[in-house]
Amino acid sequence: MIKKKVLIVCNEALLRDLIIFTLEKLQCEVELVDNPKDAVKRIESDNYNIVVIGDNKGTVVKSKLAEIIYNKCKRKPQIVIFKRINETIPKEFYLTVINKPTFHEALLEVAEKEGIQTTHMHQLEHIDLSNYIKLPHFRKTNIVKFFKNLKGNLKFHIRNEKEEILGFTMGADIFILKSTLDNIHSILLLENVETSTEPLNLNEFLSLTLDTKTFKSNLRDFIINCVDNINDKEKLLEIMPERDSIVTLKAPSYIVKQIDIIKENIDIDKLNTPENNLTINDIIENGENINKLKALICMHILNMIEIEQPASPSKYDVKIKKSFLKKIIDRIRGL
Amino acid sequence: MMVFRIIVTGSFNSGKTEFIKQISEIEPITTDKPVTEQDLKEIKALTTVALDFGRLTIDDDIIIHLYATPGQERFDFIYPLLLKNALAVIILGDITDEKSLKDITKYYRKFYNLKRLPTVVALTKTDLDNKVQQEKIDEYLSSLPKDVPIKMINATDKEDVKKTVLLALQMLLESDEDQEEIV
Ligand SMILES: Nc1nc2c(ncn2[C@@H]2O[C@H](COP(=O)(O)OP(=O)(O)O)[C@@H](O)[C@H]2O)c(=O)[nH]1
Ligand SMILES: [Mg+2]
Repeated sequence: MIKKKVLIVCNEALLRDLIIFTLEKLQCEVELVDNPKDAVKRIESDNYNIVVIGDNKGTVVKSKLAEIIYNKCKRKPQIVIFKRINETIPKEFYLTVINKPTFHEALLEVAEKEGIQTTHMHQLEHIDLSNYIKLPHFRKTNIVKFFKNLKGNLKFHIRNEKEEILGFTMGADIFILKSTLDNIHSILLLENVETSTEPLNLNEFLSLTLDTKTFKSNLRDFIINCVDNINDKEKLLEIMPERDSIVTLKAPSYIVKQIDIIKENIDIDKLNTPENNLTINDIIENGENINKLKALICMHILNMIEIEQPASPSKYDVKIKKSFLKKIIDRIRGL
Repeated sequence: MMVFRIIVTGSFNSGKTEFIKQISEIEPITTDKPVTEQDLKEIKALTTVALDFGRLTIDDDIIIHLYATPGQERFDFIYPLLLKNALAVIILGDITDEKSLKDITKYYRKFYNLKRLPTVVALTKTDLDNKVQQEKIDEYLSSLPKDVPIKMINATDKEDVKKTVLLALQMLLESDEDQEEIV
């Protein structure tokens, strides 16, 4: 009888051993990798009946790794995901989701209380971030503009004289690998920033290891939290300077309405009626309403709105013949 | 006859009256005592407000009215009216008075949001010794857009005042080089 083959993608010593123990009892041939990159390499060169995905050294979310593996496999396997309590895994027909057992963690805790060394059971790896961006080319950037223009699948390095932040985006998610900020959500308050970016390819993504310090968030939630973190009205107003500009909704209103801070503060239907010609000032009640201001800034950074200066023939709203202006200037000169 | 306006604003005691005095052909007056019939007509609507008023005749066709407004919120209702036919806004800050310097950005925002006018910030009393520390000044003015010029002046000095007004008018003159002239 040909043995059934199982690939395990996991770096958690105890859980991994438990899975292997069980499957080997079932006469399966078990192979083991601890990171997504090796996993993809294996499934490209061999067929597996079952792939088990647990916590591993990669930053790629488990459901995304499952999708990549499923699409790359010639012979489609069963894929099992061990899910943490707070993880959400979308339903897929090829997926079986199992709640990750926690009894072994509890066991480790008890052991630790008795002074038993358990660190070798946890696997913590430090990421080498020297040369993170291979060809750094730093440019002075406004941090708000940077996030407004930030695309998916990019590595970025943000710095000023005091702070340094390294991270990347993958799809709609943002990962922070290193940050000197006490609170990463204060990032929009950084001044005199320069940034450097570089595309992140799939292979590199799969081989990026994450440790407990890695911050991960949906980019949209991240921006909203960062804006919400600014409570200085003047700072907020600086982000929205051209306050007589006309605002139009660019994103579909049902999407915009999914975001609480926006839904609760901005009348989306009113904004979505172009005849209303709403200006920034109209929406933020001349800067009096800080929550409306925050909501509008979120929409601005998330590229949900278009901001247009009303057509003005000159930089200034002044109508005077040039010849008159010259006369006035001459007269004052001669005073 | 065409009347254009130049608006001078700034906190109490920042030198607005002095400033206007330098280029006005009449003693600056509060608007409840206008001098001529013509002036009265023009500024009638503004007489309820504590404005200082000066005048400069350019030629038979053009007159400049100079207004000094304390910029306080209780006069907000008057600004849209005041800014009609306005050519420039001069914002004064007393360099010996922190509060006065802090108010500059407030006034800038107020006028910027009402109308786009060439705007110059002038710090007055630079001839005095008890100036606010430079770092503090920089901090208070840091959120002004970079294209707003900041001049150091003595508001009792006619040449300083002339240069300040000329700078604002020059900004206007250069703003629309290729634009058609509009009456
Ligand atoms: N030395 C000096 N005194 C000034 C200057 N500007 C204004 N003053 C004086 O400061 C006081 C207040 O000025 P004023 O024009 O009445 O301020 P306003 O309240 O803004 O109209 C007056 O005594 C002026 O003579 C300046 O640049 N230098
Ligand atoms: Mg006065």
